[in-house]
Amino acid sequence: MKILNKKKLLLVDDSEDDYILLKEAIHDSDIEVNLVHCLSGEEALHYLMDQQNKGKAELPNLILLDLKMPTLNGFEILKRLKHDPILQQIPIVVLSSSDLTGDIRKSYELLANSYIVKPFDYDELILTVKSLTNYWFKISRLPYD
Amino acid sequence: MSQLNSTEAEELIDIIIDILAGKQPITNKTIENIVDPKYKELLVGLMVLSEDANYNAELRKKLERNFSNLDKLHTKLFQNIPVPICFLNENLECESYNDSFEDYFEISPSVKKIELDTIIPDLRNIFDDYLNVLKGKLTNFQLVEKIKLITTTGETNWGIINMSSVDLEDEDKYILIIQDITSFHNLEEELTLKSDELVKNNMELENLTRITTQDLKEPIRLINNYAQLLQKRNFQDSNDSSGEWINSIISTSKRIKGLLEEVMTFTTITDKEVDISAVDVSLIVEQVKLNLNRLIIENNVQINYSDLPSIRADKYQLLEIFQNLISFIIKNRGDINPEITIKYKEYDTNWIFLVVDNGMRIDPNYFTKLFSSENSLYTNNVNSSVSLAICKKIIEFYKGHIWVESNMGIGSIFYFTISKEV
Repeated sequence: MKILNKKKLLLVDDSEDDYILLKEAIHDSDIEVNLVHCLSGEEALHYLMDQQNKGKAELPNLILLDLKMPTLNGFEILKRLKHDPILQQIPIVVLSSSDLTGDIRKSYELLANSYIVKPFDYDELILTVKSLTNYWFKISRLPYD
Repeated sequence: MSQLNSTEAEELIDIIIDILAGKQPITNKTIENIVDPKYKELLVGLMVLSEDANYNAELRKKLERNFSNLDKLHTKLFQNIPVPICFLNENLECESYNDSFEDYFEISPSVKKIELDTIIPDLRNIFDDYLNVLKGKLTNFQLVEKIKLITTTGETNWGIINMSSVDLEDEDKYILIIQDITSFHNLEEELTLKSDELVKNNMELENLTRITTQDLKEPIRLINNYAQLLQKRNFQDSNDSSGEWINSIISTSKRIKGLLEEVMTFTTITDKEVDISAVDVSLIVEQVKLNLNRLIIENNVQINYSDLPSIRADKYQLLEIFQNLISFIIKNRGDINPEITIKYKEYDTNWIFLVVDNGMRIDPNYFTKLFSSENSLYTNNVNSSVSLAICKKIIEFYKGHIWVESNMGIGSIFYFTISKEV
């Protein structure tokens, strides 16, 4: 049964620091999540293709996507994933340090499921992780549960 | 009466003919020779007539001389005046022009007729437009226009033409006077270019500020997060000051974040989409009290107001004004608990708001610098060094002014105006 498995959370972010902080926040939240980190858009696309080839069950349950990344930025990834008949079903939460209205609007135009500004305080980050996992992994029903 | 003999009669006739021809003046001697009083009387009459005729002839000569002198003077003036002038006929053909006109347009003296359309190409169109406006009535008109002028060697200049009608009895003529403004025009163009460049540079600078502040928030956020993570993991030795140092890192990060947000607000506040509508100022003050709740409680602040008006403005911009002013007052409070009163007065064209406190510490020497974005007087306070500059920027957007009056330790009054014509 899938529900016995840990949920898979994919972080696409070129910042190693943000990965470390998220990992620590997950740890401090006492949440059982399989956190995968891709340091670039290209790496994320390869990873998702690989997982898709292994079977839909191997795909992440949620993607946290940064916007500002070299070569393939978050908007490009959003566009590609939301055009893929299988991958488009994975909810994508944009996790960006930008609070510019333009970035927020564009993300939703490209069908992001949510937009979160990276919290300034660590406690806030823990709260965000708890809220996100609670909503997407407990309250919400996902296609490959 | 004695009869003249034939010889005497012939002599008299000759004299009269000579007199009438002006060859011989009538003198008293001539008259004395005449014995017959009837002929004497006739000659006296002739003498008077002759004197009148001589007088009239002299007068005419004098008038002709004067007229000739006037004509010479006019020609001299027309030719030598250092302003290009030409006369046009009713078909706008150049009939005559002065030396200055010739020099200005570099017309060769050998040229018999100059085509006006080649040296003032837009004149005919402007004149036709003018004609249409006046519906063909062209008496006593004067046309003043900035216009392009092209010399016969192809050099382009700019001038102001002053064209007016000369209403002669038998024909219509126009006089065209040209004032060269090429240097002013070039200066104006240069100024426009510089101004455009300045606007572009300002936009680039604003974009750069926007990007820089946005990018700087990233490392500050990471520093703050790591410091708080260290704090959470109890990474501090009770024997040293590491705990305090971590606290300092966190508070400094928050200060930098506050400053970056202020800079961001200052840069973007009047660029954002504004929604001008009727805004109840009382509700804005209530929102400020909610937003600054913690600061208000910590500093035991009393905020008073009653019956504030509803004005036309963008509610977020109005909120920024009141919030920045009130938080500035609280952060620069004196020893007593701050009491802030908000009042207003309505005038025909604007509103004036007064934010009165009971003892803020502002040195009057800093009044002029207080609202400047260069000001960084209160560096220990987050959100205060740029906050009043933000207020000023928004207020100026509403064609208003902001100023302050203060008695050290007694209190200050911040005044600001908001135009009703937004």
